[in-house]
Amino acid sequence: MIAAERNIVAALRNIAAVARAGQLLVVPPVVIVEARQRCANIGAVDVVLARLRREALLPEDGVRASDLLRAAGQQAGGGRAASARIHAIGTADALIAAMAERLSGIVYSADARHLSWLKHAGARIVVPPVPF
Amino acid sequence: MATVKRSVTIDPQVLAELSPERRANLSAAVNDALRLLAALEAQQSLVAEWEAEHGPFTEEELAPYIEAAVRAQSERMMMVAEEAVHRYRGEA
Repeated sequence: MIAAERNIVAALRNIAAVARAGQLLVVPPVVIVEARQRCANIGAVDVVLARLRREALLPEDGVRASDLLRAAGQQAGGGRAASARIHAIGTADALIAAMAERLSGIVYSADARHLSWLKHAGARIVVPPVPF
Repeated sequence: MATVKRSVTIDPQVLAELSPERRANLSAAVNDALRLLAALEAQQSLVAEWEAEHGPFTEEELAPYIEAAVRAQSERMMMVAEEAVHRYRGEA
C-alpha cells in the first residue's frame, strides 16, 4: 500500500520499483482521503490513484485498528500519554495497518513513525524506509 | 454484476494444482486471477505512460526504492515463516 504522497515523482518511482519487484500497490479509502487532502496538485494525484488497485475496508479492519490503537496507547504508558499517542497515530494509520495485515503486510509511507508505533504494538506489518 | 461467457482452454496440470474450493467455482477463480492481472497491468501502464512523457527513470533513481521493496518483501517472508514456526510449536 502507498500511504502518502506529497511528491508525485517520488510516488511514481516507488510505484515503478514495486512493479519491478512484482508487487501490487493497493489503496484503501483512507489513503485516497489523505493523499487528496495533502497534495499540492490534486489532478496529478487523481491520475495516479485512478490507476492503482482500490480495496475496501472491512468492519473487521475497524475492530483490529481499535485493538492496535489501544495497545499502542498502553505502550506509551497509559493515562494521558496513552491518549496522546492514540490521538497522534490517528484512525487513518490504524486502519491502514489493519488492512495491511490482512493483505500483503507491507506499508509504504512517507512518515513511518505512526506505523512503527503500531508495529511495536503488535501489528504484523513491514514498514520499509521509503525516500519520498 | 453483468458477466460475459468466454470459452477458454486450461492447462490440466494448472487445474489439478488448484484447491478443491477453487476448482468448484472456476469462474470465480478466473475472475480473481484476471482482476489481479488487470491491476498489475494498470500499475505498469501508469509508469510506462509517465516515462513516455517525462523520460525513463534511471537505475540510480529507482535503486533506493527497489532496495526498499525487496527488503520489505524479505522481511515479510521472514515474519510469515516465524509465525508458521510458532504455530507449529503450538506457541501463541
